[in-house]
This record gives sequence, C-alpha cells and structure tokens, in this order.
Amino acid sequence: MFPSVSRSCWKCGRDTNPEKELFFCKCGIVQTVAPSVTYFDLLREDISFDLDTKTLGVVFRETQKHLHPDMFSSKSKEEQRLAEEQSSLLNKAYQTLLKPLSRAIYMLNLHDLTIDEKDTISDPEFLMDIMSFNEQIDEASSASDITNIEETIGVAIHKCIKEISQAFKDCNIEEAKRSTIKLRYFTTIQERILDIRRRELG
Amino acid sequence: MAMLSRGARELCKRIPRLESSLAASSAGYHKNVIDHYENPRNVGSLDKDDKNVGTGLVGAPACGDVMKLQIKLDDDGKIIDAKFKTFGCGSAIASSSLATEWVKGKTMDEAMTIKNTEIAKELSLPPVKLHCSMLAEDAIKAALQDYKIKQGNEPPGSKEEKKASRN
Repeated sequence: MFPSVSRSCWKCGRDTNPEKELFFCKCGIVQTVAPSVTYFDLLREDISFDLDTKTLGVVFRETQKHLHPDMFSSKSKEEQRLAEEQSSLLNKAYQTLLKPLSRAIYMLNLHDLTIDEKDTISDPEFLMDIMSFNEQIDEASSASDITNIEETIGVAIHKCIKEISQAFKDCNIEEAKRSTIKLRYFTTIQERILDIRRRELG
Repeated sequence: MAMLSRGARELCKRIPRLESSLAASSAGYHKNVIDHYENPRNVGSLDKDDKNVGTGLVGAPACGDVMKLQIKLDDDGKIIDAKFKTFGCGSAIASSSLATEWVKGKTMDEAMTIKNTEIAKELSLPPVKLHCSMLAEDAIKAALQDYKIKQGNEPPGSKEEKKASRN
C-alpha cells in the first residue's frame, strides 16, 4: 500500500521510510508530504471501505498532537510551514474518510472514477422514490412525520453503505459507483431534514 | 402554499452556500435566476396517469438533484400546460421554472428544439452551473418521450391518426 518511492530528509539527508516515517524523520524533523501517499496511508489504514471510525479518530488525534503548532513554536519557519502543511492534509484525509459518502467517492477516485456533471441517472423507479421522499418532507405537517421519513432514509442509507462495501470487496467498481450515487441522493435528503430541524430549533 | 413557502425559505438559506461554491463568480447569481427561484413559475404536478400528460423525471448524480417536468397537450398537439418540481440548487430550480414557461404554447417539435444553451444564456448561468440547464433540457425531452410512448400505446383511434400523420 505504500509507495516504494523514498524521500530523503530535507535536514539530515538520510532516506526516510515513508511507511514508518510518514510525518517525521528519525532525526526528529518534520518531513514534506510523502509522494503519492493516500489518505488511508496518512491515517494508517488499509485501503478499504470498511473502517472503524473510532480507530480512525484515535490515530487522527494522536498524529495531530505531534503536528500541533504549539510543538513548533520554537522551531524554524520551514518546520512550522511543513507541520502546517502535513496537519492540514491530515485534516482533509480524516474528514474525507470519516463519512461513508466522501470515503466512497475518494475510493472511486483512487480507481480513476468520478461522479460528475456528465453522469446521468436512468433509473426512473429510484428517481421516483427520491422525488416522493422530497414531496413527503414538503407535505409533512408534524415533527413525527419528519421523524418517520428520517428513519426510512436512515435505513436506505444503511443499505447503500452495505452495497458499497460489498461492491468494493468484489472489486466491482461500477457497482460501487452506482450505489455511491444512491447514497449521494439519500444523503442530500438527510441533509435537507437536518436543515429543517435546525431551522425549527433556531 | 405552505409547501411553496417552505421551499422558498430553504432556497434562501442555501444561497450563501451556493455563492461561496461559485468561487470564480464574485457576482453570484444573476437577477434572472433569483427571479425564477423567488417566484418559481408553474410549480406543481399534473396527473401522471392522464394520457395527455407526459412526465420527465431526471437526476444529476453529481449533486443529488432531482427534477420532474410535466407537460399537458391538447388534441391539436400543442402544449397547453406545464408543471415542475425540482429538489436541488437555485440554478436547477430556475432552469426548470424557465423551461416550463418556454414549452407552453409550443408544439412537440418546437419544444424538442429548446436547447440548454438558451436556458443558460437567459439565466446567465456560470460555467459550473451549466449542467443544471442540461438537466432541464433532458427533462423536457424525457417528458416529450413519455408522452409519445403513452400515445403510442393508445388503442386505435383519433390519436393514432395524428401519430401516423407525423411519420
């Protein structure tokens, strides 16, 4: 999973092992971002859709501690800059891998697949369902109506996640993409419900 | 109406987010877009089981938008009514709203010639939002197609003659 490309420490000059010295050289100096490193590498995870977000959080916070600006207040400008660069990339990696939708899209990207404007969806039944969920939200007259829809969407999202997981396990990337598109739609509805709830609270 | 106002409120909430996503376009939304989503024309539904109604349902996977556009034709083959429902960004709503305005009064062949570039031009959509106008064009085509299929399945009669005269 790790690129074999080595990277020499900009300070002491020795070759660093990107796997063991992802962020720091053994000499203790913060490194440049390792070449062709994936978000999974940064968080010490195997490339897999099924990951434990708790472990992900632990590794993330532990690593960020070492890259925190407080640790670099007495260091050189160059080290401060590199720590910032590494830290910001790690944030991005964590946010991407944390949520199933962005994790799935990122994994599709690793397989050179994207979901973009040129993609169309020709599943009338599915679109009908999406339209109908949105209409139900429009017509909902009580909080319990919304809760019912939210539960249904929750179940649908869970199903999509299972499908995506299976598709990646089977290396069926096209199928993973189809399920990811569905997850995108259900997530959009979920966000809409959250938006409504927030407004009702505010 | 309660439904509409909720939709409108939600849209307003979304505007700042949308604008920030249009990084390059500092001007934000064009007034024509704003006009169409503040006062969307022809929001609603027609009876999809009506033989004279064609329904187009399309989606944009990249953003999770869904658009329904319906047309109703009279016996002379003229579009006499059009309705839409779009759940998506302001540009998608404006594009479908404009599309319903444009198809009204047109024949099927005329409606078929509506191009997404014309919709985009009228609304001054920025390049990142061009796909919203494409979605509207697809929705018109899908509605026309649905109508044709329905009419084709009609038992022999007056409708059949009309179809024959077109071929």
